[in-house]
Amino acid sequence: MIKVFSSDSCGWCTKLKAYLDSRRVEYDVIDVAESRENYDKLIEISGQTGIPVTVFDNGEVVIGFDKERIDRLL
Amino acid sequence: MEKKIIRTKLVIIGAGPAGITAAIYAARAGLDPVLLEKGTVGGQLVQSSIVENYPGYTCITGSELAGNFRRHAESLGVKIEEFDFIERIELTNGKKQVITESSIYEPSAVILATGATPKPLLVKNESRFRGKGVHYCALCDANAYKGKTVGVVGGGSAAVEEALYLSKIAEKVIVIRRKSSFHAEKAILKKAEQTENIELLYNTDLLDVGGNDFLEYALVTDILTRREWKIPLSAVFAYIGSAPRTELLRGCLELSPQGYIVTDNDMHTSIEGVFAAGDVREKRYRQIVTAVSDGAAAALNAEKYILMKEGK
Repeated sequence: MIKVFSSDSCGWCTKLKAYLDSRRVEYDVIDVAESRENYDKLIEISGQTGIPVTVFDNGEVVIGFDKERIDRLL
Repeated sequence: MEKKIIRTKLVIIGAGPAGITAAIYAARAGLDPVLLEKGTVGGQLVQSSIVENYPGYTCITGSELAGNFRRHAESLGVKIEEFDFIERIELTNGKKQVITESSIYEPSAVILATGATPKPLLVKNESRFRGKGVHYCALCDANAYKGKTVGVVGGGSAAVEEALYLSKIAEKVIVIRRKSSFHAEKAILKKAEQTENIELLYNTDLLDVGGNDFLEYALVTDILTRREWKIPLSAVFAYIGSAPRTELLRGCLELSPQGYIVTDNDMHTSIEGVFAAGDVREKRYRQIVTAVSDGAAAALNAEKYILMKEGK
């Protein structure tokens, strides 16, 4: 399942999730504001602290709302 | 895929406070506006942790206010296209075309409300530490710095507001200000001055940022003495103003030397039937309330123009 690292206060995260919803894609949300462990996981996977980050089933990581790359990976 | 040709009365580009207000007025005038937005609906407002100067709300978060704006527009039937990105815009006194990934819009009138984006810091290692300590949205990225010391660069209301927001999360916030005073609203500045874990550094210029994998310090200089020193920081949040989003409009209509759209007091641009509203417009004050005012004027004048074109 696709994973989305995000937080409720992040506008680009809201946009990314709305886009995945519009494409009827299922995903798990990992709220980085919820715990330090979630942030550590984000850093381990993406090597940085910015959100949103989407992790695809094949391990590809997309930082930010990069629609073109997301479209290619869906 | 062949693009659909859509003939419509009004296309509004940008769904920040100006664009949404224009859409509300246009929808109520029966113009069935199409509202296009590439970024976040609500524009820069979504990234404001707190708004305390919009009439009717003593205190509201930017995303809440943006959500209210959006719901208001949608309740009037405005459809916001936020995933069909614009590829090209062609504006003449006669024909107007807005070409998106899926469609070619041919409107009678256009309102440009594309807003502005945060300016980069323009220091050498900025891109190396982007997302690794250099950030432009405290609301999005502050949580990574719980209990740490962070910096804010800037002297306007946005910088000081975000310093106040960060002070609730970080252990300490150091505001780096190049000049000898802040031009933030006095009420916000007073709050920052009274906040124990905020330090305001005057006459201090950011020269660069540094560290290993993640940002570890800011290199600064005292403008008056030219002394340079490193401030240990885990992150730097940039709030040094914004630049207009007019990259798709270059060559289409008159822009100021800084790239803002030149208009008259009624939001007319240099092209007939094309109006501009909000932060993208060349003007003195860029506030939510002035963007909203621009949006209303642009829609009312666009309506007048469309009626005139239709011979009514």
